[in-house]
Amino acid sequence: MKKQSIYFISLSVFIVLIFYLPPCSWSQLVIGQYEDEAPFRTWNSFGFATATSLGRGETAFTLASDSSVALVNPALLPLLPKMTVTLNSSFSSALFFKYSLVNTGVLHSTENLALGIYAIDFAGIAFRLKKWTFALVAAAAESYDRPPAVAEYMENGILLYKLSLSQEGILRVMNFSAGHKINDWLYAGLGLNFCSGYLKREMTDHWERPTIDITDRISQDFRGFFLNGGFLFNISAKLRTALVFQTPYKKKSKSQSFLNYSAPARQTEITIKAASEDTYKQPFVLGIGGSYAFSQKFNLALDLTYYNWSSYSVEYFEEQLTRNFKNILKIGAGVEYINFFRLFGQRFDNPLRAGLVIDSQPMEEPNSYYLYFSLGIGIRWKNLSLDLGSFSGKEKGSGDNLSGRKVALSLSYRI
Amino acid sequence: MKESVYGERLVKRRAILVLLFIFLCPQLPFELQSFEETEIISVVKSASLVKRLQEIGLDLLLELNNRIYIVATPSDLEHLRVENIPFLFETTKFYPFSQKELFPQGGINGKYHSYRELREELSDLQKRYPRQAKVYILGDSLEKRHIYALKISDNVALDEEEAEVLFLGCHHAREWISVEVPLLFGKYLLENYDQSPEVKQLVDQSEIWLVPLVNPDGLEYSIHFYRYWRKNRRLNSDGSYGVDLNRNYGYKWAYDDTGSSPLPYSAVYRGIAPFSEPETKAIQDLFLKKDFQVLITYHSFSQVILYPWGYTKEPAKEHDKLQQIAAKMAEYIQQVNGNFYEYGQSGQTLYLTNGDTTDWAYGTSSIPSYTIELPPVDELSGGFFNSEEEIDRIFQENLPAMLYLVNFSIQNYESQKSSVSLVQTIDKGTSIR
Repeated sequence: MKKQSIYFISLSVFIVLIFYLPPCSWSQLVIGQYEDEAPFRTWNSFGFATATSLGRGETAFTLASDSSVALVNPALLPLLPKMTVTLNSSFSSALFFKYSLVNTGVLHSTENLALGIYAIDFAGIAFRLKKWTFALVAAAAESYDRPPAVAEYMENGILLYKLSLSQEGILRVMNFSAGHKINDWLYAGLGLNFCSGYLKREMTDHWERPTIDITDRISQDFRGFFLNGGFLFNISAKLRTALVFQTPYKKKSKSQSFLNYSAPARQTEITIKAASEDTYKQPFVLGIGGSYAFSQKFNLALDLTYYNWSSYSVEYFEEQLTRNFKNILKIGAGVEYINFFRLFGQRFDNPLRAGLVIDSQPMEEPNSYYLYFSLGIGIRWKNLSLDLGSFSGKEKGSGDNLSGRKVALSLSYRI
Repeated sequence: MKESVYGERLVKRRAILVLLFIFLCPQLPFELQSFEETEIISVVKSASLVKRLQEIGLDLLLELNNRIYIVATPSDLEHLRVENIPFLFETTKFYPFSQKELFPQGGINGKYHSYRELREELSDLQKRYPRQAKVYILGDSLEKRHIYALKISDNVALDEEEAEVLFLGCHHAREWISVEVPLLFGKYLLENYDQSPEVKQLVDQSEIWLVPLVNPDGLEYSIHFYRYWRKNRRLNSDGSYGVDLNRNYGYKWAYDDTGSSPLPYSAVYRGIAPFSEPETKAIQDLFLKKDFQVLITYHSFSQVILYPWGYTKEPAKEHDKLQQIAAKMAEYIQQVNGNFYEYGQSGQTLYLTNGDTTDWAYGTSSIPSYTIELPPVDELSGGFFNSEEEIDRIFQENLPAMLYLVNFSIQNYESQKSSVSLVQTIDKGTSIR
């Protein structure tokens, strides 16, 4: 009776979460953070949180859940089964307040603007060959999308002026990692990461009577390479600790700009073009984590991640741009309880997760951070597991009472 | 053992399939961007070949010395190779088409100066001409950028008993050309100091102050976010941004709501008080420390020379004197390439303005003060846009007027000592370009 109750509760929660897909990631760029290169939702994009780790407060330094550990701590790879394939998708929507010309002087919105993104954002495989475990994963690490903005001025039903802004972009990471069990208490891993992506921004002003068009277009192609790695220490049968890192790297950009003024009535055509090799110097990331297994079913985890954001610098069209950033510490804590039940004579594992994230943002002004509460649930049957994770929370510091939520669904196949 | 080997093979096969899947999957929702590089090529001109090229759909650029020049994409080149049409690469002959020549400063704003580029240029001038050029920091903008002044004089480190002249630029962020004209004037004076006895004489007898960028925050916003941004970057109480710096000076500030606006979101918002903005305060501080004989502030566009009053249509007490100087400047400008700048009292010629630079300079010090609205003449000719090629032309046509005004100041300064009448002084001021 007791097991049946747990089963029904778990199943109900699972179904509710499955249907709880729309707006799942509410957040925004905070004051002083209206730079084009600011990633969607948060600046801190070390590793990747699939639904599994998302549910337990984005903790992943010491708990090997799926092949995404390659991006976080490749030392965990030997703890995975012989082969693990993972696919993750998420739906995120974010609220934006200040970005580009919106709420910074030109276009004024009465409320935050929302943007939703659905993506298959992670796929990876980890497999063991003799004493080594390798992983090959691909992830959409950052998005530079912004809500499109359009303003129109009409008079007597006739359009006299229109201003429009669009921006989109993505940064993908391809990772090849290897992990090795050195002895019973020490594991080590290293990953090679190639990132690539783009950012496109276009703004147009259009006047009628007479017709004048101004087009301002920026295109950037990103490339970069960095290493990540980690160590796992089995202090005891119940206690694990980990040390992880990501090297600083230069996200290089081939950038082009196109600024054009056009007044056909006078055949006036003025264009200013530019091309440059730009650099975004990304910070060094260092993390320590620990987990304690109260039993085989019940784990507690804590991850601390240090981002050396004060070293962040931007060279944009051959100009050194100022970003007043400070070093920050991101804190994630979570619990995982693995329940099980039987259905049609089959055994199903049913992990339940909860967590807390304090995601500090690097801007000096305002001193801003997100406080998230996360929940997760999963179901495992034989080699297959399906996990759902979400977080929900609020931003503090900007005074705008911002909030954030996200939902991710991941599927793993293990042999 | 057998089972284990089979298991490993199975793992490997599945791994290969999954690898393919992994590489394909995350690419799906994302779009890649690439730029197709073009080349300029030439082929020998012949009637039959022209027809063939047109059939292929190539972009014919020009004919020169019995060759046809073509802008060709990589696929066009491949097409020509397939068609066995011989061609030569000519891209390097066309310097404007090579990236390095097209974008000599490499900046997003082309040949125009950003804040950093201006800072470096001023610093370079100070290094190259340490005896005649000195850079001063007048103050900081709201976003903590420096407001630089370049002083040009002989014995530049000394404050001598000489006529002082002030040239200002870029109160309004989108008026990029207004940075260039005073800056190029400074470069002209320094680069010609040793070559031209006339320039040397002017520099020796005066102290010329140039503040090419009064509104650095606004300019940076205009470059990076919105080309048509006008005001500074003040975050106003209603959440809007910007104070119009040319409505924030202290003479007849807020005289009415026509010549400026009390509404923060307005393009001509005057701020909460006169000199509430650090940018205008920096100019005021310099002005109070010096005894300027004349002031010019550059704006765009309209191609007009304006003088006080702006706050009213009533003429200034010395209207005739102001008009004569403006007429002389317009004359000198027109002599360069026939480009005529209209001139007149600000409040009558353009529109009413209160709290602007020239009313304040004239109202508090009675010195000739001018707003020069640089080209183009109207919105359809470019509005706040000037092509990069126009920068030097606009400077060159303004140069004689600038020199005239410096000379006028020197004469006026001398005349104040010897009480020569003003009309005589105006006539004495000659352009020495």
